[in-house]
Amino acid sequence: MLRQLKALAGAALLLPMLSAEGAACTLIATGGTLGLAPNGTTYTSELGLPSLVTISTTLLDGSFTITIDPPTLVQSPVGFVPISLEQKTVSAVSTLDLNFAYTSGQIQRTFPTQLLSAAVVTLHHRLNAASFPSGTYRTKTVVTCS
Amino acid sequence: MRSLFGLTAIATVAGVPCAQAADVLFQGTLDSICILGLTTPGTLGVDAEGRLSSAAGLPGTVTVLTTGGTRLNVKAPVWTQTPAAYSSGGEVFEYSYLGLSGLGVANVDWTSANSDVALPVLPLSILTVNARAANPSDSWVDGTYQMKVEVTCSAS
Repeated sequence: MLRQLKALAGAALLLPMLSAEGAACTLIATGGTLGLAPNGTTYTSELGLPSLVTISTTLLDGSFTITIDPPTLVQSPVGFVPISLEQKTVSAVSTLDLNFAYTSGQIQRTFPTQLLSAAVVTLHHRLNAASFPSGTYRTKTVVTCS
Repeated sequence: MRSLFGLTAIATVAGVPCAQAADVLFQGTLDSICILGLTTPGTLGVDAEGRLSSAAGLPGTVTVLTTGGTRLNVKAPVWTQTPAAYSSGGEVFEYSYLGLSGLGVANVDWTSANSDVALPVLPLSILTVNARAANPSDSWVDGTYQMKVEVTCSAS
C-alpha cells in the first residue's frame, strides 16, 4: 500500500495542469545571453543565445493564450542609459503563428488547443543604447500560458 | 508518515490553476572591450618644410570601439620600407591624431613621444592618424617610402 501511494504521488507530480474546461498548458523556458553588436549600440541575444520557450498543451477542446509581457531591464551598470528594450518571437511551427517583429510592448495571441501539442518559440531581446559601460546586464520578461 | 507526504503532494498539484507562467532572463556581462579595426592606409607627400608627411598626402584611419576602462597607446612612426639607395638615420619621426565621434579627448598634436590616454565609453569612432619624417640632410632619394604608426588599445 505504501509503495502504491508513493507511485501515485510521483505520477501526480508529472501531470499537466488541467482546467475545468479541459485545456492544459505547460511552459519551459531557457535563459538567453546577450552579445554586443560591432557598432557598440545594440546588446542583443541575436549575437548571443535566444531563449527557447517550449509550449506544450493537451489535445482537448478549448483555447489557450500565450502572453509575453513587455521586457524589463532588471540589472545594468551604474551610469547606463538605455534607449529602448525590445523583444521579438520566431516560431518555426506553422500551427503556432507567434512571429512578432521587435516591439517594446506585450506580445499576445490566442490559439485553439487542438492545433498544438508541443512547439518551441524562439524569443530574442534587444537592448539599445548610445553606449554600454562595463558590467552585467539582465533583462527579463514573463511568459504566460492561460 | 511517508504515506501522508504522498497524499499532500497530490493535493497540491490538483489545486494549481490552469495558467502557467515562466520567467525568461537574458544576461550578458561586458568586460573592458576595445576593438581596433578597419584600418585604411595613408599616403605620403613632401610638405613645404621638405618632410615626408601624410599631411601632404592622406592620413591613415582606424576604427575604435570600446566599452570604456581602456587605454589608447600610440607610438612614433618607424620606417617599414625605404629605397635601397636611401641611407636612413637621424630622421625625426612625428605623428598626430584626431579622434572623431567622441574620441576628441584623445587628440594629440605632432609629437615624437609615445602617447597613452584613457578612453571613455565609445561607440564606433574613427581615429585619423598622420605621420611624418624630417630628414636631417633634407634630401630624399627616389623610391618608395613606407612608415607605420603602431596603435594599441588595451584594458587599463
